[in-house]
Amino acid sequence: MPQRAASDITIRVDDVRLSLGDDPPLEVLGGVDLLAVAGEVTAIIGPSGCGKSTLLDVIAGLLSPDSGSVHVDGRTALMPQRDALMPWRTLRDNVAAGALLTGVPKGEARARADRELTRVGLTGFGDHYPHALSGGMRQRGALARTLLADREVWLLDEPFGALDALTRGEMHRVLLAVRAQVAPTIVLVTHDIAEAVALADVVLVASPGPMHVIDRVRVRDLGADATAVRVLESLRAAGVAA
Amino acid sequence: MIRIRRSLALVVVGAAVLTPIALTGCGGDSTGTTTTAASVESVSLALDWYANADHAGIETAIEEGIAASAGSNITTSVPSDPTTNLTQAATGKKDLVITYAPELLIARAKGIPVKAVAALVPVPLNAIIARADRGITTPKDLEGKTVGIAGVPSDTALLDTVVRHAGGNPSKVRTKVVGYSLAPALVAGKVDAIIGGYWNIEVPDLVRKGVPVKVFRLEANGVPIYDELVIAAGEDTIASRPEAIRRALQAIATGTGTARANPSTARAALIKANPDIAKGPLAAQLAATLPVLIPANGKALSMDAAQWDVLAKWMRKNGLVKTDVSGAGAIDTSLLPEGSR
Amino acid sequence: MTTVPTVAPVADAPPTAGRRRIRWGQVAVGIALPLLLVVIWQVSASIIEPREWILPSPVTIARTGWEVRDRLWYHAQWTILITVLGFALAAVVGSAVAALIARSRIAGRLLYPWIIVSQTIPLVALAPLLVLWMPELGAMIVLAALMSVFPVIVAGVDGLRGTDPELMRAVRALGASRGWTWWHVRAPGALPRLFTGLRLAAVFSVTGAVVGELVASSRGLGALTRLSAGQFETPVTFAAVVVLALIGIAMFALVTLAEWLSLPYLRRGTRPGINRPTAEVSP
Repeated sequence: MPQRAASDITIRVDDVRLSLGDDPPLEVLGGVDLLAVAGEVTAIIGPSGCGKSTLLDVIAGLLSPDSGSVHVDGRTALMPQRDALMPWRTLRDNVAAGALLTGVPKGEARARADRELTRVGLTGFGDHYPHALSGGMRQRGALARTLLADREVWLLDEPFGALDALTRGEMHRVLLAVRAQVAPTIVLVTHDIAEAVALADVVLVASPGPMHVIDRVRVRDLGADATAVRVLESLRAAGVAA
Repeated sequence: MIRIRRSLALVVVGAAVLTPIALTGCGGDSTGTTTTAASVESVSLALDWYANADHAGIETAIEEGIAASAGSNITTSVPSDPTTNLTQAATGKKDLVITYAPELLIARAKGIPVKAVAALVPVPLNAIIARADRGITTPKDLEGKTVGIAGVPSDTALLDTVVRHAGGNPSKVRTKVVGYSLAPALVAGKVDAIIGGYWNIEVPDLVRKGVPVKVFRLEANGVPIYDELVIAAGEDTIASRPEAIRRALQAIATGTGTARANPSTARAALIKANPDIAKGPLAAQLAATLPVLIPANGKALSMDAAQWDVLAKWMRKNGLVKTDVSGAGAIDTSLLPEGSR
Repeated sequence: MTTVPTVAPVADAPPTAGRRRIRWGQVAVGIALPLLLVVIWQVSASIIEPREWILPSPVTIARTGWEVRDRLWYHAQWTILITVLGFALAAVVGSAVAALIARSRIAGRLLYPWIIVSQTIPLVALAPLLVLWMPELGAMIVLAALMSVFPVIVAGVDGLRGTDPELMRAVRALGASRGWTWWHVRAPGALPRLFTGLRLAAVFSVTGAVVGELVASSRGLGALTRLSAGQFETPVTFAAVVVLALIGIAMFALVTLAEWLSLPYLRRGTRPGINRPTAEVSP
């Protein structure tokens, strides 16, 4: 298991601004600052459409900011809310895609995929096509792929948002168990305060667009319940929550 | 239950659609019977193509009021598909149609009740038109050359007869189906000769375009002389509307005479009837056509039963009809003007 | 290594994906209905007795078709050859053009007007010209391809442009190059829509072949239609039409079969998770 010093900063986002669109251009990110410590889960919570997904795209290197800087120490993997699997490939081949991209031979990639599937509790479903799986199973498959890709940074964009409460609870358990084994640096975007508090080490509160960080809480410092209350208050102050 | 009801509805619709089609097959009853002649008899006449020099007599009769004086109102139309003319006549949809003698005989061999009532053009207009710069001086020289055809079986039979008559071997002549673009194929030089073009229509046009041509007239090369264009009618129409046909034919005969005497009048009439007509070669086409519209015996529109018998035998021999058909039985001269019978 | 708590799905039955149950009821209605219409046609014909050269009865058509089966087969071979090759040409060229247009916006703007022009030229006018400039078989194949290429292009472009953006996001974040995504994500994702275009093209290529033959060929079912109509052999014309319909159906079925074989994931089966009490919630 990789050992990382707790003080390592894996992601540094410095006053990043980004406008998208043409007519007229819309400022999506309005000076975002973010520090993510190696091995920690940083949750970003905020209203829908405020630019959280765009921020993940910037960190992943899919978009370039107009100004400001982004430093990521390591390779990234991104897990969207849904449709992360290719419908025309079996679950196993989907999971193996992460390794195939880096040139691992097919047979070995498939074997590794089977191992990761077992790790997320999908043993025996490797031959299924995604349409034959429930939403929760698909997201677990996406998780298995992320695991197999062996990236240092995981960017999770509301990964359990499309699932019902029961399944979401299961997914939290799966994620925590996996994290205990692998310890990547995770940035988790969510609109669920309970989820953020349950999973994260640090919770950032994002403002509505143009997005910037309006509050930052270390869960361990305040405790879970107090963190949740503080986050809610910050959101209210920003005019978001009721 | 709903399934059956829906199926039933479909069945009813299907029957409703098919029955009228089936009904059109049962005899073309014309509504008229032989009654006392009306002051003006209207006839519909389907041409074989857009009005051209071949129709000089018809259009002159209409435009110069000759038809009106004869108490005949002739309405011409151009079919989208000339091969439907005879079936239209047989079912009474059209009173008169223009067709080709061979086609009429084929139809009669199939039992289609039509007859020729007049010969619009009493000589073959079809000819083998060869490029003069391909070394073809007799039809025998067509061996090894490519002849463009439109895909009509009788054209191939005519070609074979001509080549054989000149001592050549028809199987050594290559044919290429070019559809309706016979003249363009010849102009482009893609074929050495064509058959299916008319010596009175295509040739003057080709000459004007500067294409050197050599023409082999069919009747001069072993093909029995036949009426290229005939006016035909369904047997039911002949029986029920003889006066209407008689007047129309009288008008056309007179119109032909007038056209022959006054080419410029004919030209004007054709342009009026078909504004899209190619005006450039028209004068030359009329000069070629008008003299042959009236046969040597001076009887416009007349038909020769013996000639038709010869044609029928030739067609049988060349496999264009599968059964013996009577040439003389295919024509009805009773409605021709007095002087033409 | 501690394993993750496995949450077992409630339904443990193996999937039945891949075996589409044939609904015999629907097949029966599909056959029975046309059959019923044919019967009505025959009955009407027997009662009314129209002339054979106007509307022959189904029995006459079948009988004549059997009598001239050699002739029918002689012409059908030609049409089948042209149809298949024309379709193949349309499939290949259409897919290539679709890829080009989907890849480059400039290519799209340059090509689309010409593609549309090619579709508005009446084939009946084009056929004699093509026959002048190239060997007859080639001209016929080009005509069949021209008639059937448009649906392939449109469907192909649609399919290539319709790749799921979230999927692209996930794959590209893993470091996939543009080339990799084109080959492994965009192209396979476009296949279902492309097959829709191919199914249309399969039928249109028959039409294109017939139009070409009708106007400028001495062989083929289209030519036979013209020849037999000119000889007033109406039953033969109808028989040729029946054979043409069969060819069209066969082409359509073949493409559908190819789709079934190459896109196994589209064969819907039961979902193992389907008996779980929970349902997906859309945000």
